[in-house]
Amino acid sequence: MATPQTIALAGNPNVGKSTLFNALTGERQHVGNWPGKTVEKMAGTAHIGGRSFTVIDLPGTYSLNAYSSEEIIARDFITNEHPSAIVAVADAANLERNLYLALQVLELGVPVVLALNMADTARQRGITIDAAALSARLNGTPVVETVGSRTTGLDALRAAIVAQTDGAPHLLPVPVDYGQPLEGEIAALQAQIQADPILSYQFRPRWLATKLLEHDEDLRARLAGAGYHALIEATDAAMERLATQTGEDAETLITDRRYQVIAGLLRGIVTRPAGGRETRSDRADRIVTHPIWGVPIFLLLMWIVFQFTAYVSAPFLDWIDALVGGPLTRWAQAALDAVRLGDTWLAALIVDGVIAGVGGVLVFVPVLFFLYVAVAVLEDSGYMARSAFVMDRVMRSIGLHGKSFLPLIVGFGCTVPAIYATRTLEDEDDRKLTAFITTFMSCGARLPVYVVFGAAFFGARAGNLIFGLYLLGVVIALLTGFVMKRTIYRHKAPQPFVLELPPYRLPNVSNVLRQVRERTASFVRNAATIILAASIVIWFLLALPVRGEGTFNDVSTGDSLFGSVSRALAPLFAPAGFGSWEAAGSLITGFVAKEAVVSTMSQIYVEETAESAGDGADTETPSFGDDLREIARSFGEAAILTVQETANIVPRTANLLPLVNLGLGDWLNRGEDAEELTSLQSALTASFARTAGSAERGKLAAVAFNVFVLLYVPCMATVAAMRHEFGGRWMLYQATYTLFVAWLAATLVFQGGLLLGIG
Amino acid sequence: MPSTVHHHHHHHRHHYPAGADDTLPLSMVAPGQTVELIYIDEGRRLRKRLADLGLNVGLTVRVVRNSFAGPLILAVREDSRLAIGRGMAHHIRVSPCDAAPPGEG
Amino acid sequence: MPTTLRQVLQAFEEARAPRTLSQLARELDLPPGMLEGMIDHWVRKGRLRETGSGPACTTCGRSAGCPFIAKMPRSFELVTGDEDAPPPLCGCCG
Repeated sequence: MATPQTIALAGNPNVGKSTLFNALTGERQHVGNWPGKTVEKMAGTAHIGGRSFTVIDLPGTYSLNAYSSEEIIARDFITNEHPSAIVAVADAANLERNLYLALQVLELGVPVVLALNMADTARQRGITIDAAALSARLNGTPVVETVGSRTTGLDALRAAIVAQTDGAPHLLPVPVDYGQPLEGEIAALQAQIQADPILSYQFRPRWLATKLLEHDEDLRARLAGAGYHALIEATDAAMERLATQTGEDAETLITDRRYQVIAGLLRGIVTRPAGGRETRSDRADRIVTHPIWGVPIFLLLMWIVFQFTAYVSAPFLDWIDALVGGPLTRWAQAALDAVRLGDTWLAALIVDGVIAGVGGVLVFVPVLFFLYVAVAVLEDSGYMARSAFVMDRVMRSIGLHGKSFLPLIVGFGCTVPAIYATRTLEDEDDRKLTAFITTFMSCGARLPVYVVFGAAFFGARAGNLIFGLYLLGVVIALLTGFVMKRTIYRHKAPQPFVLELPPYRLPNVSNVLRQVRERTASFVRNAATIILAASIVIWFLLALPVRGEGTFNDVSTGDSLFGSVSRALAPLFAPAGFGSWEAAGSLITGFVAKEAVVSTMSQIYVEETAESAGDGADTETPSFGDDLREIARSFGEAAILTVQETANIVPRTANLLPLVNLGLGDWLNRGEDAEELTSLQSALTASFARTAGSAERGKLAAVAFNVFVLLYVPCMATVAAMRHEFGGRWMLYQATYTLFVAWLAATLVFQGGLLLGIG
Repeated sequence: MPSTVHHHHHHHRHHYPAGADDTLPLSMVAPGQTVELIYIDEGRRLRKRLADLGLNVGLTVRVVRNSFAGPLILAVREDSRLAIGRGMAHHIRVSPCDAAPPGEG
Repeated sequence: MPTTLRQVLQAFEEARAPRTLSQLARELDLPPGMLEGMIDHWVRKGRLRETGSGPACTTCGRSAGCPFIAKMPRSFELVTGDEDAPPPLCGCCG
């Protein structure tokens, strides 16, 4: 049997090339790497009509220029290996763009089969392509419609491959007429190349001349290396002439001509229906953007998001919390003891300052992780633009329109980019107003505070507190907008509203994971920088005595510099029920970044933690091995509970309906009351109850505290961003307003609760 | 509340189809219908803004959603969906297309 | 006469603000896929860039833009010599 002929598949990324490759080669494949590259090389064998072919799947590229290593690989393969034919795979629904590569393959002078892949999708969208007419315009190059995932068109494709490789001359170069003055320069360079036997053997002269004029760096370097300096000089001179004659660089001229040739080739051959047919996406929009159902669907999705953050994240939160508070602290102390620093202030700084502060924030990584997973899934599915659509009517009541809702959603992640995202709004007043209210959208950094308090004071109903706070943020944002529209913006005309709605799609797992990774990483990075610095500063402020008998690093926290300053501010918060110096102090540091509220609390209450640890009867320290075994065991448990809580979203959500009361899964037989409070949480319940007067009042004060955290100035970075975008005056108004609203709302919650007889 | 569209004299009459003005505001087109944009019956600013968005006179669109309130969803080309405010849609005069017209390349 | 690369660039020069891919495709009456290819040409030439592809804020220094910006429609803008000073520190990336 003769050596198999080689054919190669070339095409843009994501046109179903690999599926087609699999369909042609079946099981007979092997994977390798392209020489010297990390790009995967797929090769296989296809048996067609008694002949066998080696099939190469070239990397997906948009052109054959030297812009990327994939493009160089694809080009080198075609020019060096001289395959018998190339199957140019194109997305039938996006032929105008895909033909750009196909045209370049045709210019190389190789027999080509053009496969219009994913023809079914194109047909569904009402696109028609006259394949026979296109084939005629391409000088008889076979054009076959295929559906990669099914066998449709495969036989026709196989037949076309056989026909193009049967030895008869099939080289039907498609003349790409570059027009004058390009053609003149191409001809001159082509003549120079043809005069050189080596060059004209290796490359198709016209193709090389065109590539050189396109300023192809890779080919230039190779020619320069081989000593073809005269040719390069001639190219440079030609490019210079073209630039002075046309005012455009040669590469632009050539690219332009190719697109014009494509437009000409497809004229009358591809028809696209105006408006198109009704798609699955359109049908989904009939429900999702419904004027009545739209808002409830939005709220339901938000509810599910917070179920994720409150319950699904809890098992791993507890796991990390136990890890940081137990083994990690013990190991750090042991390591410090080993280098005889165990009793110094440095050890206290590391254990009580850094580990308690930064660790206190890092335990919330699972919470943020699950929040970002839920949000990324919604974003990637195309729902976010719909939420703006649904909220348009609500936004209109405050003088904005739906598009302003998009920056507000960004604000659920982080307020700073939300302020910058207002740049997408055309109208300056819209921008200012949107940025003004965007700080009320609860960002990721505020979530740990709600989670700590929710678990401490509300146990199994923590999710309701969290959902309620997020909703309150939205409501305050809208009320603020409503008031501003009736006061400073009362003459503002409504702005026209236009919004692109991308088609719905199944969220792409790798997209979602990448976003979750990047966003979670930013939380971790924040903890490792800003919160680390803040924790160290606060440790020193807590260690410096200003009253009482204490000395440095041996002072009760209340008598420290930090305690004294906080104590001075505490009475301000007495009407809201949390007038303790601890609460006031953590709110002060919360101005640096909201995560710092929790890290400061972990530091302040560390005294009690240390004491309660000392109280324990089992003072015997577990061995390192015991620790590791326990960590692994509890990790496994946490994983099981995470799955359980994900499943529990269904009954929890169904229970929102009246008369429905489904039981929740409890796979490890923990029961409700087995919920253990962390040391910070129990310290919080005790402290808030003490300050407010009773346990029930403590709960009320805790809610008021969370309301304050939700509403007051988010962080330094937000203030800086506000100033950068809107100036110092606007920043000052905004910061003052948020402080006022936060105080007022917190006080209303506490006093109102008392009036209603709570506590 | 039904909107009354006032016909001012500064309309670009040359955009009118030959014969009578048998247009209606886009905001009154039923979902599923395909219409051609005939003219914009208000100021230069809106016209400019719509042109910036690629909603030019002569364009054919299909109405995907048009409820009693809130924005409309239009299908422009076969692959692009656009939400536009109801206020804007009041000022866009359109004429229904009987059948899907032949698309252009 | 089909739309030329030059006309694509001019559309950006006239707008002086980011333009979304599909908006411009409607305006120039081009298939979006083809316009994307034409815009790619100018992006390679350093004349256009994808909005939000620059570093979001100074501290972050990420080349891919801020991870918190929700999925907005893809849009492009003119690269001008006199860029805005980058925004100040952004707490989210640390």
